[in-house]
Amino acid sequence: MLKKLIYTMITMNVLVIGFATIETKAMMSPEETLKMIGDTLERIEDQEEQLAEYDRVLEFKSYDKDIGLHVNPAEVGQEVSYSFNVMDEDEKVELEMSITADLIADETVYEHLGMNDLYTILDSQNDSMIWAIIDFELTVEDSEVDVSHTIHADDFGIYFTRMPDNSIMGSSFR
Amino acid sequence: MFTGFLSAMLLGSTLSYLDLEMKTVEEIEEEGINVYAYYAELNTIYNQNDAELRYFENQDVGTFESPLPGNNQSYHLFSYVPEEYDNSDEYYVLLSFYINNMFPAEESLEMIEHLEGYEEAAEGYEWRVFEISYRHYNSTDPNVGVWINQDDFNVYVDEDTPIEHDEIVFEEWFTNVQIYELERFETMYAKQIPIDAPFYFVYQHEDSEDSYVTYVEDTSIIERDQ
Repeated sequence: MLKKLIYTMITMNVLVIGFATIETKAMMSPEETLKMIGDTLERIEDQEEQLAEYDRVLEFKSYDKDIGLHVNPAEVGQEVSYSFNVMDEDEKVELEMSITADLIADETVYEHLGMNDLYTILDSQNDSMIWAIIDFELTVEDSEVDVSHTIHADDFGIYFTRMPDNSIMGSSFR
Repeated sequence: MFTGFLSAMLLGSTLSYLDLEMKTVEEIEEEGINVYAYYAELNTIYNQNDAELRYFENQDVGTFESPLPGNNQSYHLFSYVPEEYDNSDEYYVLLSFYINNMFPAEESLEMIEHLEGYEEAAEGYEWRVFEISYRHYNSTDPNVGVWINQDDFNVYVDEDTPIEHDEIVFEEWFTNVQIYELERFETMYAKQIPIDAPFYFVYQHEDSEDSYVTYVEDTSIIERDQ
C-alpha cells in the first residue's frame, strides 16, 4: 500500500499541482534562469489581464520582503518587526525584535525534565519527536513606544516544516 | 543571450504594483541577488494566480445544484472570521482539494475497524477510506493558518441528508491540521457512503458559511488503485 501512496503523491505533485518543477529548474544556468524569468513575467502579465475581469479579494505578496512569516521565516538572530495589541487599546504597537535560541537536545534534557511534574513521555506514534529545552534570548530594539509586553512560554510554538521521509502521510511541507 | 531578460525588463515596469522590481544583470551581481530564488518567487505568484483564475473560471460549480465532478480538483475561495481577528475583519482563503483515491470497502474496513470511533456502518451504507490532498494557495493574512479537520468533509445522500457518524481517530497520521499559505497536505479520512449509489462529498470549514460540493456519480471515478 505504501508504494501506491508514494506513487499517487508523486503524480499529484507533477501532474495535478505542478509546483515541484521549480527545484529541477534551479539547475539551469543564470542566463537560462533570466530567460525563464522573462517568460514567467509574460505569463503573469497574461494572467493579470484575465484576472482584471473579476472582483478579486486576495492580494499579491512578495514573500522575500516580509520576513518572519510562516512562509518566509527569519533567520535565528535576524531582526523582525512584531506587532501586538496593548491591553485595552485598539491600536497596534510595533516592535523590532530578534530571537536567538540555544537548543539543548542531549540526554541531560531528561535529567531536567524528569524533575518536573508536567513531564510526560512522548506518544509512541511520535517517534519523530524528542523533548528539547530551548534557551530563548529576545532582544527588543530601542523603541519610542512606552509599553511593557509580557512574554509567556506558551507564546512560543514549535512547527514542523518537514517530517522525516518515512512519515509519508500527515506531513506538511512546501 | 538576454532577449528573455530584456522582455522581462519591459514587462517589469508594468508589474511594479506586484512589489517585484526587475533588476539589471549588474544590480543582480552587485546586490548578490539569487536569480533562482527570484525565479521561485515568480513561480509562486504564477501558481497563486493560476489557482485564482481556475476559481473564477469555475465559480458556477461547487453547489448542490451544480456540483463539481468528484474526480476533479476543486478551487474553493471562502471567508470566515478567524479567532485572531475581531468580528469586523473578514478573512479570505483560497484552498484546493482533490480526492486522490477511495479505497475498496474491504480494504477500508481492515484499515479502520480496530480504531477508536469505529462502529458498524448503518444499513445500506459502508465505510470507505478517502485519501485527500489539499493545498493552501493564498489568503488575506499569511500568518493565520487555516484549520482543516476531518469533520469539515462530509458525505451527503442529497442536499438535506448528511450521513452522520463518529469520527475515526487514525493513529498513523494527522487528520486535523493547521496549514499556512503555500503548504500542501495529504491525509486519510474515513467516511460512510451509500452502497452502490451516488453521493455528494462536501467540504465546509467549521467557521465558514461557504461550502464546496462535489458529486460522485459512480465510485469508480475516484477508486484510482483498481
